[in-house]
Amino acid sequence: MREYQTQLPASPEKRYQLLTEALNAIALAITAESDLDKIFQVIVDAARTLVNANAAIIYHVNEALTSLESAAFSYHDQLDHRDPGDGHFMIPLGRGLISDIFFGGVPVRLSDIETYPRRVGTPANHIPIQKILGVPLLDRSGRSIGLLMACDKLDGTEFTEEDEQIFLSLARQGGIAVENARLYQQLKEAKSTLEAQVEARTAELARKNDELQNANRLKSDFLAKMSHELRTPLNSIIGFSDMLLNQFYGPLNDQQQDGLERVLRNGKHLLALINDVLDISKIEASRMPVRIEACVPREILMQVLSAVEPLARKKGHHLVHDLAESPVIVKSDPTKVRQIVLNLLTNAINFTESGEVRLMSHKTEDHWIITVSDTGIGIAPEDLNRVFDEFYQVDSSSTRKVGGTGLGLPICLRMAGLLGGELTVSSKSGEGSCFTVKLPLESKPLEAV
Amino acid sequence: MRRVLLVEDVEDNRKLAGDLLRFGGWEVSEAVTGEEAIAKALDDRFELVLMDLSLPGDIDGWGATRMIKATTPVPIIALTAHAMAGDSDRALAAGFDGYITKPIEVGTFLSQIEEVVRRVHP
Repeated sequence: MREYQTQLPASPEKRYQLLTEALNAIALAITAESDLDKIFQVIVDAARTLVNANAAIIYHVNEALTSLESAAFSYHDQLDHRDPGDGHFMIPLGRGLISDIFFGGVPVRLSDIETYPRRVGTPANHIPIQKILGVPLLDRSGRSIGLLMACDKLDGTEFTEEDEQIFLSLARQGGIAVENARLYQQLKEAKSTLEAQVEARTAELARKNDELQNANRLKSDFLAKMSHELRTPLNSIIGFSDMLLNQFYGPLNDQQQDGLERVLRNGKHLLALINDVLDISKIEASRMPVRIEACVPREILMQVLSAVEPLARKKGHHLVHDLAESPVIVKSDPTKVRQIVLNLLTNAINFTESGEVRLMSHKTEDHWIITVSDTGIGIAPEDLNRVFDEFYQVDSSSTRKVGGTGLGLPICLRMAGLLGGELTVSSKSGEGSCFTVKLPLESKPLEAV
Repeated sequence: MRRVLLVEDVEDNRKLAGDLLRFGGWEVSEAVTGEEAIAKALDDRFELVLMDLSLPGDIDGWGATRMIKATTPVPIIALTAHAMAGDSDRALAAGFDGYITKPIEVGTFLSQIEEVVRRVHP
């Protein structure tokens, strides 16, 4: 800050201009620098130059509030001074002029320090001093945090009221700088603490995620393996009972026929369970392939209708459909849509004692809506949100009769989700139930893991 | 008589598929391991091989199929209880001519294999 170490400015206007410049420079330093020492140096240089003093110093109170420590000096070029020791003064807070300014919180001007009644003396190497101007550095709340002092003007005159005002302006800036630096430090610490926390959390989450994925993979692998192991004996159970029923091994009497039909039916039920469990685990492990392609809704639904037609006829139900308002074409996975609708229709037919099962399909602005409704007994409100739970069955006796696995609806729900859609149910007890599949007109392929 | 090589390590399943094939008019030769399958396939002439994928020993159904296909164009149908996604694609990509999932369907099994034979040797 060479520019301040020139001679005393000639006019008050010039001094005022220099003070403004100094304050601007300090303000700039405060915004740009978080290094308090540098800011103090700018202030102390400006202070000494502006009041044309021999020397100026800034003291900063230590954290323990037990002493003031020199933070920056400024000496006039011609002044013969020796550096005070290691470049630092340390003044214990207590008696003496400096403590008084610090605790007093107000400016002090002395024309002769020797006459100060509470003087405690200067250190051995101290430059000779007589006249003193000292102002406290105050923080925003008015608490003393240090002080700015100058001694002896170059022309030997007294420090003036104007000098004192200049010092007060500079000291105010110093106070702000200290506060800023402290806040900055706190912010930095808080930030690094936060960063460390975020980092630790992230690592923890990543680890948990790895664990979960690993566990999921293990589960999926286990289920694949188990499915294989279960299918092998089932192959014989279903195969041989089927062979016997088809009389490959000779004619059967009625009781044998009945017994074998039971074996076959239960074998197939077990197979359906294995398949459904495998489906669920595949979806949960994100291993269920989704093949999005252009498909024609009416075609898909007609295929499903013809698949369930024999069952409906057997149960004596009217199978009604209205597909006229279907979207002409959608982008979806036709296999999944078929499986969902097939499951809903089969349920509706199986769980309706008599009456009507209705399949409707229409298009909204960006969705394909399929509804499957029936005139059955409906679902009680307390059961409504549980129908999508695994193995939840409203009436286990009727389930046994129709042979559901208890996994059909949970699978449908997940499959609708895989296609970016949803499956919902509404019902009034005694008035039948209505399942609604809402699919996007264009499903986005999901990333398989 | 049409000759088929049935490679299956589980005795019950071997009898089931074997009986079905015999009822369907096939003469059935059986193998239990991959090594045995390779030896028989190369030794004899078959119209078809039915190959279980997981077999005991050093050579599974995949390996045995690779070896057999390297020397003879006999159609080979994979027969497996693996129902994981992508298995059938993988089998067809590996050179199998067809893929039948266990449990086999008694009602359709014979027509399934006929279809493959017709496709390979029209």
